[in-house]
Amino acid sequence: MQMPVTATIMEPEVLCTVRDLFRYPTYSNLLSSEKMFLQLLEYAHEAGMEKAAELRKMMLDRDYDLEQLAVDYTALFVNGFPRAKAHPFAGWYLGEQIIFGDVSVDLTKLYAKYGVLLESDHSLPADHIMVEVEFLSIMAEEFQSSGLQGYKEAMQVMLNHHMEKWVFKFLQALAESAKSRYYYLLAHVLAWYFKELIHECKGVA
Amino acid sequence: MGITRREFLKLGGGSIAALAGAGLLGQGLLGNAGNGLLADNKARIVYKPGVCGICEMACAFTGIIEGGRLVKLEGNPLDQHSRGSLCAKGNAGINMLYDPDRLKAPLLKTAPGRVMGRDPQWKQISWDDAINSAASEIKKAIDRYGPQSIIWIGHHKGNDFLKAIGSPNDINHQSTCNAVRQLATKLTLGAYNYVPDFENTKYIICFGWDQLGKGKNSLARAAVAGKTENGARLVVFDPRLSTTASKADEWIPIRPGTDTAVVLAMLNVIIREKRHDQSFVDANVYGFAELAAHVEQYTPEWAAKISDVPAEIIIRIAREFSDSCSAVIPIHKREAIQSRPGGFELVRACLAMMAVTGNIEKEGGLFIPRIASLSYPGSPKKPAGIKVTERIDGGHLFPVSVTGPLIGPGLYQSVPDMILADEPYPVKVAIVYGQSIQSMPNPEKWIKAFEKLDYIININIYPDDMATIADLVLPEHCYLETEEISARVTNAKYNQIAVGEAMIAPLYDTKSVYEIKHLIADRMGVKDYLPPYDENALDYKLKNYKLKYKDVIKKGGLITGKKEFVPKDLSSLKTESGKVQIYSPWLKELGYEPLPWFDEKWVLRPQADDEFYIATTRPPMHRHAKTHNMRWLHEMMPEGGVYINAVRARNLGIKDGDEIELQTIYGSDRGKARLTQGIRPDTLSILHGFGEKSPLMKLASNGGINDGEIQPAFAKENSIKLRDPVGASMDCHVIAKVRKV
Repeated sequence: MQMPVTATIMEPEVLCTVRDLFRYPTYSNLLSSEKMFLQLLEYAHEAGMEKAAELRKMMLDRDYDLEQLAVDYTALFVNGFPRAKAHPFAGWYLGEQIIFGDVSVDLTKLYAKYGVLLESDHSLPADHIMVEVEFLSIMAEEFQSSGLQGYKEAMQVMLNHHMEKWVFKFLQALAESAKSRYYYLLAHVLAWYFKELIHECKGVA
Repeated sequence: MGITRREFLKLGGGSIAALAGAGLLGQGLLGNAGNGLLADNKARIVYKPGVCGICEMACAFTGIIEGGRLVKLEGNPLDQHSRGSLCAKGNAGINMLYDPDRLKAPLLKTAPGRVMGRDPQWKQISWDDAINSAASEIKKAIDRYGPQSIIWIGHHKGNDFLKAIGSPNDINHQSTCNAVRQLATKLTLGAYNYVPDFENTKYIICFGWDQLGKGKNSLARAAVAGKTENGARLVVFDPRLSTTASKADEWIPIRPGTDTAVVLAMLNVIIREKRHDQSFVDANVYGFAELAAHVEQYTPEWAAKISDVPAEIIIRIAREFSDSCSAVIPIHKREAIQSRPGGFELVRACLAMMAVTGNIEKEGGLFIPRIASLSYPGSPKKPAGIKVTERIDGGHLFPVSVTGPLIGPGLYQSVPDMILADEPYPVKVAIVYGQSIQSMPNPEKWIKAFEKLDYIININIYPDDMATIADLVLPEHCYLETEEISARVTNAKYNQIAVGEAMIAPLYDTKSVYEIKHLIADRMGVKDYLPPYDENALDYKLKNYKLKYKDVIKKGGLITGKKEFVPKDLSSLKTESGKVQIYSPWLKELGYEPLPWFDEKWVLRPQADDEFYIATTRPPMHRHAKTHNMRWLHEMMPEGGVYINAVRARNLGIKDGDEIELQTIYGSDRGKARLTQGIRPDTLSILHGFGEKSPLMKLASNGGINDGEIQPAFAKENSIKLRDPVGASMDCHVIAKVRKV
């Protein structure tokens, strides 16, 4: 799907792509989101984000070492030294720094308010970045198909009342701790993205 | 792979479209507590029976799960171990479950070399790749060096795997822990343990026993009940004023390493003054005449000079003990038992004292544990057998400990020396389960030994110091994520089995150790030599009771037998004579002393102004090195320390809280001084389990002194020279120098 000229980084497919950027870096995972990701990077570059251009070139040239990315991914998000350097869940930045803590419980309730439940066969907590972004994509999709304001409201609540409080801290940790150029650039691109997303979501009529 | 929009979330019944249809939009969904159309978000509370995995007491509990999250653990009031409450450690199991530092996936070390505490540069890999790697390395070593080149270190969990591949090297830490107690009790009573009947006793003597201070719930509460509700007199021999000593009627600060001398002197008094129970002895005890002749040399006056316990106190306590209608001497582990020479003799002497006074299989004395039997399936095929029977822990040289290639504990402390010397053969691959380097005596030596190996596989829950030097890390489930069936053992006064289910599904990509073994064995083509591990395994364990696992869970998770005490027949024990075995012809045949004895050469003597004995202890809220990253427990006690006599400290210019350095011939480490009047002037007491050096353990890192850094890891020749039948670690058999830093 071609990104429309008029923008919207709120498109469900774009949100899904952002979600998938946090998957373990294998060739197939990188390839599966590459097309939409390259478009997003082009859009970001056109909007003045220089690091997006560098990342885009890196992706096009396949100028990354998968082994290095795997080691970096593990250290950043899974088990690092001395700990995972950029824990990818909100509770680390907002709450008690435990997994499945109160922040996760509150988000489960928030999802349920908008009619969304966690799948039982996945064990990611509700406040994991992938789960939160997936929630946004579902709300975006439902908003697109139904036009109901409730879905827009859900995205605004999620972004303005929750994600804005932690996602930039997370991305800062990612930028500071990444050993690979890929994750360093990704952190900056995503910081730009979420800033634009929050802005755009506020402005949607 | 195309984009899957809904992988982690799904739409429930109460969608916004449904709300619009019901005319409810526009009312504002923010702050809406739910109107029935939305998915049910009320927290559902579920109660599940479980079995604690923090220590070997395996207390039964009820887990409270709210909205899918485990929020509380409560002791099961019908369990004779937990008695309705869990200790601090058990309660804090939730911290372990939800710790973001827990290992989440198999990890491969990509950094070259093995340096403890250095970034291993892990790469997450799939279980398939991990199992392939493990199987391949094990097979490679077997093909080149023989199956004996594979060792499993940790908790007997690898015994069946080793049998399947033909290696005798089931290495465990028991020589630093409970081997002495178990083997001395086995020799004397034919059982590995005994249960003190505190609640009904009138007299309790402890030699370093401090379960009140260690928080072993069941034992501590029973001892308190005996004292407060049954009026038992409690006498504690301990170089320090332990928690148990602080509740005692009498605390006697005995010289470290001399407890056996005192007990032998008490036996001297009891027998000489004919205070023993002759009819009980005639019916149930083997070797009384030999004992009576033997203890004539161990007079109270002799013992007083060695132990600093006045002769009149030895005599009085011996008389009080034997005059009591019931009396008991509890023994646990470590403390006076395995930390210095003569521990084996101490246990035998204490059992002899209870035997000659008729306090065995009697209310208020000791019981042989009533352990409910569980069934275990055999392997589909019989393994080929262990061809090489010498072990890398020297156990084959100690037939009292090791009665077969994979039966019995060897000398844990001697393993590094033997690996480094390729004695009796080279070892190439280690599978390390549940062992932290930090808790090993003399970690430096262990690290050198590990550096020599070709491949290390670490099955673990936390990324601790052992994980940083392993080539492959395999993450295990937390015990709260697994089923368990556990017969009560340590304090089992009647048959009882605790049956527990997983509180929640595993949070991460972890596996149970049983599944890990099976997967590796399968890849190696030896799976049929392992007992089966499948959904029927749980039911099989309960076969004898004609009960199914799920049914027991539904009924609360406990199977309880008759509680009435019926004394066991003491003429058909599993001992050499069938009776209580005080004199052992078997020990004599093997070249050891057939009766408990004492050698004054066992006793060290600090000489200089800055020299001390060392003793170690464990606080009630921590278990060795396992619990220090659990946040509630860390908050209660974030740092260890060294207890030092206040007067001696002042003479050395040390104030409370000062950083001090302890130095022995084996190493040095630093920690905070905790001044106290409640310890012998010549003795230090160190809190064990602290001083984690791995920054991966973000809470536990550098929490104080590590006793292992200053302790010996004796070669097996040391135990042979001391004529110790079981190879105790004797990790406090050293003098430490102290200075303010």
